[in-house]
Amino acid sequence: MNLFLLTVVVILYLAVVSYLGYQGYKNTKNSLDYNVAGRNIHPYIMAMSYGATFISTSAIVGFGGTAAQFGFSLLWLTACNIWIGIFVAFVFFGKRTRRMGLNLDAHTFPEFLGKRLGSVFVQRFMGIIIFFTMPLYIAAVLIGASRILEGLLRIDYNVAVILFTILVAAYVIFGGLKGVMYTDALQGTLMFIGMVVLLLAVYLSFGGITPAHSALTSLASQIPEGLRKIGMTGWTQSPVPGSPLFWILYSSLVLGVGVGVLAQPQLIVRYMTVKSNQEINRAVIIGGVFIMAMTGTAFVVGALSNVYFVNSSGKIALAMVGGNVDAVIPKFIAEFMPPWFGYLFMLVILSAAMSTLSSQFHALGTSVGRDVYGTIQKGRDKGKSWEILVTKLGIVIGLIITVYLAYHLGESVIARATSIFFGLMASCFLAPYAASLYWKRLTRKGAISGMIAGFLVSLFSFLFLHISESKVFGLAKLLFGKDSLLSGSSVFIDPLVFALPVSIATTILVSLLTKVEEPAHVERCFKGI
Amino acid sequence: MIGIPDPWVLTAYLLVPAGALLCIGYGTMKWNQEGSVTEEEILEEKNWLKEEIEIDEELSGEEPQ
Repeated sequence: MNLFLLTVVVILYLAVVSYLGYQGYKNTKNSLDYNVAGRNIHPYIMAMSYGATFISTSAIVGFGGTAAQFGFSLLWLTACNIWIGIFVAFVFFGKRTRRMGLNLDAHTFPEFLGKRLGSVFVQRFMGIIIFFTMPLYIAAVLIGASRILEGLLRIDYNVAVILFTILVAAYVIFGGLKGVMYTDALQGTLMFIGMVVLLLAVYLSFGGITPAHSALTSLASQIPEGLRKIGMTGWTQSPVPGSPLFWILYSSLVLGVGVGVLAQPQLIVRYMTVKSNQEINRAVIIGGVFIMAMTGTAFVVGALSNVYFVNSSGKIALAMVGGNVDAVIPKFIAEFMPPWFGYLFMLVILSAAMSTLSSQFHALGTSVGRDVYGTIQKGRDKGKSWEILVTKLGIVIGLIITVYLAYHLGESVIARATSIFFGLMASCFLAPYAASLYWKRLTRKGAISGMIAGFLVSLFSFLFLHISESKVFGLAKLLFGKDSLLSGSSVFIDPLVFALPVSIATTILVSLLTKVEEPAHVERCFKGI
Repeated sequence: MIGIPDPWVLTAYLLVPAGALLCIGYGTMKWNQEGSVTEEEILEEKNWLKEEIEIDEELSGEEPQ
């Protein structure tokens, strides 16, 4: 790959993105009345912004690589992404969140729930949880982008992490927090074109859809012994029910990320930026098609990369990358596609990473600045200027933690890190959030209990039940002499499976046992709904 | 069918375009619905946007206008 040409393309791209970001910011600032009266935030921009934030390098590189390992069963996640992540999220959560957010004058997800429940504690608790866990997800996105730089430019991974961090930091500092939605739309469009071209190229080169899938089916005999032992039967076959792979695939990856998307702070904010439910209705179309092109392509191409590698080198994808699933997609793009596509794909990846990272850092900074510090300092004179400083400081600390994690998390971690964060958000916040939107009988005590119960059960599962984490923490071994209190393949059941039902039950039960604190406030929240 | 022998996996594969079609159908049917807004809502939104811009300005270190 021509490094000079690539540098020129990337600099040009960054210039366009920065210009768009600046324009978006300037227009919003100077035409307040025009924006409100004209209600001209186009649904295309809203949907693309949501989609580009939702889909990151984690989805394309991390989960694409996971599809190369586990096969087409991962398409259940794409199905969930569209049915739940777009349809249910927009229609059943988005519309009410938009209206209620307006009634409450809320700007962040913690602020939304805090104001709905009339509780500063909720806002602070959420802010703290988000601040300390989000770096895990940000690191997953950063690792994905760095693996692409490593694969396409053939540079060292550690150098790639630093290079990409500098790029992103510059982007976030020079306007990444402003006019984000306009740049997201451009980035989303690039991502869409890149992924559709990739999907067409792969299917065409294998002689069409059916021949490609049949070729993948015929590779079943080449499944590595390690994967066969945990329940894999083929790349177009389901895993053995109840096997370790069954639980990893369906409870962590499909359920964790597929359902977890409903409680993502950086996505929920997006609903509050559209002008009316009409925009949400229209955005559903773009969102559905966009997600199909993104994760649908990544998972299909990831799985089919096995056919290409077996034909070209006689080895399956996993063997080609020495077992590091995060490196499959970068290697496949570098070998299978022509160089010009490599350049385009670099931009796709830059777009995917930046659009997600800018929103993540925004959510991270405001979680500590506005939701924690801001609520403590409210009413004091010097609060505002310190709040800005704390927000910026939060972003810098988050960046340092993220880079540290990117260096130390190791290989094949993108999908896992993402699903931990998504699952944790859902375990703690989904039940109180859904109840806030639909149930006037929800009480502050009920919501707080549900939130804390979800958090504690998750924590307990991470420390004592789910072996992937409990083994790392070592507390279960220290206290009970074994890595997990569960046995057999149930040690692979995701914490979400225990935590979410407990959180739902606690929210409902405690609400029914207590009185709604301020009925008039609840009515105000539901005004217009 | 289409080279995927396992009906469970095939269902997932087909649910992907089916979901996209559902989104297209829903969005098309409701294209012009729920667009009306009250004066009160416009006022609330105006305040919301104003505060949002103030936050942006504060974050960038500028004085709110």
